[in-house]
Amino acid sequence: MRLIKFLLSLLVTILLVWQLARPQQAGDKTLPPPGAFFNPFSGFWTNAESVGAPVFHDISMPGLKGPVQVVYDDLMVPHIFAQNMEDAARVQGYITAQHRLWQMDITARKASGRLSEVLGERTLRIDRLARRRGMVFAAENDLIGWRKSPETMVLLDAYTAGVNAWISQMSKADWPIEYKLLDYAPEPWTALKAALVTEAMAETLCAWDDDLESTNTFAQLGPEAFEYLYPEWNPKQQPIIPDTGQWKGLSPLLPPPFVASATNRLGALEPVEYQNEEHYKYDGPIVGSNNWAVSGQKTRSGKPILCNDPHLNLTLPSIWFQIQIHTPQTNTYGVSLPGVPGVVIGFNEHIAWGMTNVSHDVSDWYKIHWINAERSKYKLDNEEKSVTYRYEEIGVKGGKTLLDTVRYTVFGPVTYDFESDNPLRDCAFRWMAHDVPERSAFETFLGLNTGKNYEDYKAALPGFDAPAQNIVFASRTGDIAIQVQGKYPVRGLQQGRFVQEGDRWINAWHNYIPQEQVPSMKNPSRGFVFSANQHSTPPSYPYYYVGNFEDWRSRRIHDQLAAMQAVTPEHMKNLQLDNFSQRAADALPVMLQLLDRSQLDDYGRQMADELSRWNYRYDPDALAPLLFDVWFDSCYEATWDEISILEKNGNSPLHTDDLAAVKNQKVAMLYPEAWRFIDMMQTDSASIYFDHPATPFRETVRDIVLESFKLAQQYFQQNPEQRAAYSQTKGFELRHLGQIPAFGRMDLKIGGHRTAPNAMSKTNGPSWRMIVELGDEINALGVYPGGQSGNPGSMYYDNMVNTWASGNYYELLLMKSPDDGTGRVLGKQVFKPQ
Amino acid sequence: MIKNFLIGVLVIFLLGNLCRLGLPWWILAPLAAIAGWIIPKSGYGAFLSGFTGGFLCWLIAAWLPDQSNSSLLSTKVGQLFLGASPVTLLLVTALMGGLIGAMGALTGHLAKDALTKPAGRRKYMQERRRR
Repeated sequence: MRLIKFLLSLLVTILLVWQLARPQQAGDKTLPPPGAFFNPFSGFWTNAESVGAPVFHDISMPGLKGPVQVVYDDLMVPHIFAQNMEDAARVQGYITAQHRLWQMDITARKASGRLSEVLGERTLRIDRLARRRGMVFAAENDLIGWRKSPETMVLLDAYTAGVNAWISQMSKADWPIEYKLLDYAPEPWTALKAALVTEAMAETLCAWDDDLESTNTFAQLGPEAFEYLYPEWNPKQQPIIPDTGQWKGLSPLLPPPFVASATNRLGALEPVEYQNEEHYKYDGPIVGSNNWAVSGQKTRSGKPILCNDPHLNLTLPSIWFQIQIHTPQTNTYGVSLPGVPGVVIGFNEHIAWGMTNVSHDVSDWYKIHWINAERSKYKLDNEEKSVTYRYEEIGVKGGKTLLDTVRYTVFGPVTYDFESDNPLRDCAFRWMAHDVPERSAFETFLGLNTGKNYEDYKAALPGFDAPAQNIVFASRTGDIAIQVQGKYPVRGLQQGRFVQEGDRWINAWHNYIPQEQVPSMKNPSRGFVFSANQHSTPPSYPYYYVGNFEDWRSRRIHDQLAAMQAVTPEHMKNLQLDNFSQRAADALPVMLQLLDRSQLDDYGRQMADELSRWNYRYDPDALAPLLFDVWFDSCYEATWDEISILEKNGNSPLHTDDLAAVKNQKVAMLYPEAWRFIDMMQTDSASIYFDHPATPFRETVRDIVLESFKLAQQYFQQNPEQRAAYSQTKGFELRHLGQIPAFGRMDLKIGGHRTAPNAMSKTNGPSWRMIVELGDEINALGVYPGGQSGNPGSMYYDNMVNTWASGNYYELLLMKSPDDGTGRVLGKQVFKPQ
Repeated sequence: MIKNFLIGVLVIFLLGNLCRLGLPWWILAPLAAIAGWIIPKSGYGAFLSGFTGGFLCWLIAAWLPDQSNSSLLSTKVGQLFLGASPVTLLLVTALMGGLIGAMGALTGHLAKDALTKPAGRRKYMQERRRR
């Protein structure tokens, strides 16, 4: 009896422990094993950091050459004082990992198609696509390029060792909470993962294209309509580098222009209803950025001012980590990318630099002509080529490992051949970021971090291939400059706009724009340089390029900078926070003029009055912005009904017989850019595109403007809560990187619009606002929507968010010695060699 | 009796805190079993002292960091668990510690009973045969 009692009790105990050690299912959510997660010794409670003054301990670290002092300021920014760059990189790795380890892990995981290992089946397609787009292939090639520069490889290795020094001393209690929630263990950092982090950035910035959309649209509309609707150059554009005669006499040999045949087909029509969604299709790239430098001739202090606000998907933890690196070679401050050493955007005691994305299209698709059914051989000119195979093993939590075989052609991987209904099924992906870089990206960053003048800046840039960046520069000695730095294929006219035939070698990328002909500019007489993802150059630039270029922020920034005199950092703040939309300023007067007010009722007239009073600013408390957005979107959609119908019922030249049989296959279509649409409203009011093909009438732009106004009115009458302050209806979300709602900030009420310099959209926006005045003393301001800590249980997780949201800045502390920074020092720690 | 109970609670509380040295959380069960073997005189006593010791051990270990964190994290984590409040999370945590401690201590006590004392029925049969 006693034995039975004991055994029963033992069994219950074992069952209890076993149950607490298992992941729990709650509906469709998987919760972590409760025992491990709730226990107060290594579960989530240990991530609850004290909100009191932090305590810093000295650390003994293997591999250091000398002692390294680290001073933390009141924003938890580490100021690293090292005796050499290698030690600085090592400590940077350690501290970054201490704050952002899970962010680093998940970024590298996503890029390398390893999410399913920890998240299970649901991320399998994302993983397959990452592998099939050749992300790991690209990262491996990065490493080959980086190894060409042993002196920067030493820094990357030291950084990696620093990260691993943190990981190896960590107890389970120290694991970031996301590991505990998702129930997996940290693993060592590697140089390959650093390459994956940079490839993840490249994927965000330069792995998009409209090739499929353009091909379908061209085929269905025909060449004339295509040229009319999709001109590549907006005459109102303010390019980054204006023509000052620098390209005279330059006539490079270009490949032959792209040729395509097409049939013109238009379908029947259905009424279009307005949906309150964000529309990315006509306003250029989702990600974008502003940067500019104003020369001393235009500033009050007589010293240059440099500004940068890169717009990216805003997340918590923030994409950036602020840091100061002080060594005998340099004293640099700025933002770093967790996972890689050095400062990406920042300044030192001599120069400042910033980045915006170059919006050139450097990813192309080639239609492969298979010779056999196994698709192992394909035609190239008169030859028969064999694919090479890359075998991918994708681990799946709670499931079977997926073995995937990816075909690689001379152009690149055949990404979508695992999806029989994908129109790009037989196409190979050619991407600039796949290539072995000519030079290590770290050489560029090291060159900028340690640069002292314009010559150092110029020397740092060559070889920085992808993602191409508009790198702006200013120095204390008074120079300002900008360079559209990247590696670009020499293209024939229209080449790269459409899917190309992969059976002829002439279509491949053969030559690249020589470095000395990459557009750049130094000390222009107008006294400023700037970029906002717009066209790099006017059409007189002798090389053809294709891309997705911004049309609004650039014009506003140009006009504002051109008009400014006696510029101060305060003016620069106002420009970074400027909610003025050039798009609204161009479109609204035209639309109001075309609107027949006599057809409106009281509600409608009130709406029109509200709109005519609008100053085109997407301010948080303004009522007009949403009225305009809904009207403009309705108007746009009512006009381009032809295209949305083709999207639903059209044909694609890439749809093979068996694809055409797939029901409801949407045909990807290209929509005209907003500037072209506004242009047409203004100058071509009788265009057939304003006509609804389905109605017996011949509508003109006036009919469309009125019709869409009434649709907008109907929308607001049905949804009266939408007639509220812009910030109330806009729905800005600062999401957690792992989409854990409680770890994000969804409560922010802010203004801004992607067509305004303050380029806020629902989940994207200014990820780092920086203003640097290069006087005798550097005067620098900066803020990002997040905090230095990646731990949701730390008060430094989101402590800068409110400052950022309210349009304020912090003074950035460029300390000259560890004893500097009075009043703002939280604490110090020393890393000692072991 | 009370004294024994309090000693049991204290021992289990202290042993439970050994987890701070990096031991896995479930080690509380075997540790409580050792205490249950040695200290209490009854099964009830073992269960109650195990529960109280484990409960207090986990409660205090969770409550202290939560206090110095102003419940910043527990408020967020609560939202992941049906909007539970920090207090609820603390109680859930303590309850887990309590149950593990209780079952561990009870099992330890019953193990001693079963393995060191001759089983009741066997003893009775032996005595009867002797008569």
